[in-house]
Amino acid sequence: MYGLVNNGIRDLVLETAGEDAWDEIRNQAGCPERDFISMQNYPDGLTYNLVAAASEHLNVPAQDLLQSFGKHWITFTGDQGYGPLLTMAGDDLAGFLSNLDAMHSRISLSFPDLDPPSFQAEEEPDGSILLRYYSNREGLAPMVLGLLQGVASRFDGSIEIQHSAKRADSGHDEFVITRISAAGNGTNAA
Amino acid sequence: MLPEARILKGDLIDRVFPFFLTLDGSGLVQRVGPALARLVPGLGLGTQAADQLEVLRPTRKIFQRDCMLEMLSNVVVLRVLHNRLRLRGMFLELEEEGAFTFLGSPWVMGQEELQAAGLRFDDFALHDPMADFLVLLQTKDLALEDSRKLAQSLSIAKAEAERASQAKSDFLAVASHEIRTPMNGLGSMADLLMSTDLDPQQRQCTEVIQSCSDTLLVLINDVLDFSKIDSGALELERIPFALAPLVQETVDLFAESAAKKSITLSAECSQSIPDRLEGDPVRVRQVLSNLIGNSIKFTSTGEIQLKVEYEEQSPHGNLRVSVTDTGCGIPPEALDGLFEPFSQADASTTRRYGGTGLGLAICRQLARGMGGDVVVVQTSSAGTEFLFTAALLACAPAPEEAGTLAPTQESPPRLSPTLGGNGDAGGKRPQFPKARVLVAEDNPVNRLIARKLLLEFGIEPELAVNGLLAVEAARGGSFDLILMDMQMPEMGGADACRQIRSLEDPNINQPIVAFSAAAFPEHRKEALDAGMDDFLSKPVRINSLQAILQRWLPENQAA
Repeated sequence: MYGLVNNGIRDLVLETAGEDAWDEIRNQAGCPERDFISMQNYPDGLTYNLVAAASEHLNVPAQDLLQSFGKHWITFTGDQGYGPLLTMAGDDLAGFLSNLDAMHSRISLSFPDLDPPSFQAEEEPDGSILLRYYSNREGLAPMVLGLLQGVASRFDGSIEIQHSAKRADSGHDEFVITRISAAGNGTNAA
Repeated sequence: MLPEARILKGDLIDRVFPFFLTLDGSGLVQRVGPALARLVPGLGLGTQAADQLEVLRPTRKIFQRDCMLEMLSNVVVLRVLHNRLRLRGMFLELEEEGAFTFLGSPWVMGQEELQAAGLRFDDFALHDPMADFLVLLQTKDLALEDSRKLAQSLSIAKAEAERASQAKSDFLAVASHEIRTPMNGLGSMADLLMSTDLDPQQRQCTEVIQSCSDTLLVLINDVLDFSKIDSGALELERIPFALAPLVQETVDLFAESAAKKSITLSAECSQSIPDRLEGDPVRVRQVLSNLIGNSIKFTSTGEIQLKVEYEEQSPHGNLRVSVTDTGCGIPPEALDGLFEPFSQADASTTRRYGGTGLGLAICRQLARGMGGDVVVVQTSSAGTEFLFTAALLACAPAPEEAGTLAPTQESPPRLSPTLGGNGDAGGKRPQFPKARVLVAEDNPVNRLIARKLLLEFGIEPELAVNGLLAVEAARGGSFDLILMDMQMPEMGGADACRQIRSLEDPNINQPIVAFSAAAFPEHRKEALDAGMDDFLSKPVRINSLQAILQRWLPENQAA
């Protein structure tokens, strides 16, 4: 994965646990680098190792950590200068999700080794959104949950998410996203 | 009808050219692409396009039939008046309808423009590479930001490393000075003791003190040199010097220790060696001394031969000095690490022969700094041959005035030694009873040593305890030689020298020799820059003082 992803993990750890924790986590993950070059491709194994080490060090289950990371990713990339890119992806949740594939396709020109996931969003008659998620990587569905929460926060909306189909059963994951009022009680991650 | 005109019908044009705009001949809007309509809501049907857009390129064009006809063959750039968004494309004429259609895409050059425009990915036709370009625009800025951060962190790391290196150098300079001052007392007093009547046991003890003092000095110099080289702070001088005398003097220095082991030490200098070369004579001498010293150390019988050659057109260093001995040789397994710091052939070597194991590492670095190298040509149980090469250019013959050669100790002595190259201990020193010598030195021990050493040469020096008093004493310009400590209270040696030079008659020019425990080349340079003629580093040994006296005192002062 690109260094930007690893920098995102680093940023989350620094924000929640501080510099010393990050040093210990990256050492435990066998990573000599304190920083990553955003546009350089690093082995996927490094990212997985960082997540595993962070999970152990912070005593947080890996799935929860991935979900936190997904949510953090949206604000992190916005802060990192990708705000305009996110803005170009749309100004509401449905539009944003519909544009994700186009965005990833456009980004591929800058990140030629990108192996992005694919998302198909459909608005259902009841107003909910059915999102299909396809990826060549395993185990990242919790991150998608976090990403959806992060995107919803971006548009000042609260959502409920149901993880309605899992890769193990159907070869891909599906999420049903229901928008609730802005004053609602957060999310219900499946 | 143009083929393009035929496809400009129905929804297809909305999808393929979402930023299109159709105007009639007077500039009134007839149709607008969905993306442009979203971004510029004021472009309603029947409105005047000029109220919302202007033509940037070609210049001086407006949305009127004649202008639009002229623009048909040009690249056209329009600008939205309210948000400065630019669109780049072309006009087509729809002859049947008497209208003109603009087909184009946003033309955004910077992040601010992009944000102000409010563009979205779904504004663009799927085939339109302009959206890719806009992403590239952002990622380029981010890559630059990454580089900037990287450069900044490297710069910080570099500054920290330089600070650490400077602190190390400062520490070494101070340590060097602090160690040399007591060593000055130790070595010099041992020299003086040797010149007194000693019984055999006392003489033996004093010789041990002398030997330990010498060894300690070599060790300190090695460690200091290596630290300098290691931190990249070693600077080689480029000054004229005569190679053949330097080789001979160096060999002479080792004559006694070779003779003690019954080893024949000889040097053969080729006729091709220029009279004067440009380089760092101190460091050339250091490399030669190290190689000869090693050979003596590891040779128990036989001979050591130096062969010095100079090739004008050699690509690998035109100075070639081979040092061949009949020693014990170097074991093959030790050859690889021979030039590594702190490495000797084996641990027992250190115990048996002493040394830091830095000498060859230093020599190699010095030689490489001179554009050459130090290598082992061959080694066996019958002996070893080392080759020292350096790229030193020949330079013009020496000017007649000896004074202009003063910046190097390698200048030929004014006075032929009355004894062998090094002189001997014990009352056989050349005598200069008429010489007037001033010693400026604040440290009482050093003053005492200087006086006692000078007395060995029949000289009763005048003493000054700081630079100010030295200037006062030298005002008359009557000294044959001034030995000037560099670091003194009230006024340091460099300032004192400048004052003396400014006061004295230009025709007199009293020789002033820096007399300092600070041993690095920059200290030597500081002294020479201040107008001093020579440099004598502490601890002062009687032989080096003798060389200085012989170099600088006029012949008629010698007895």
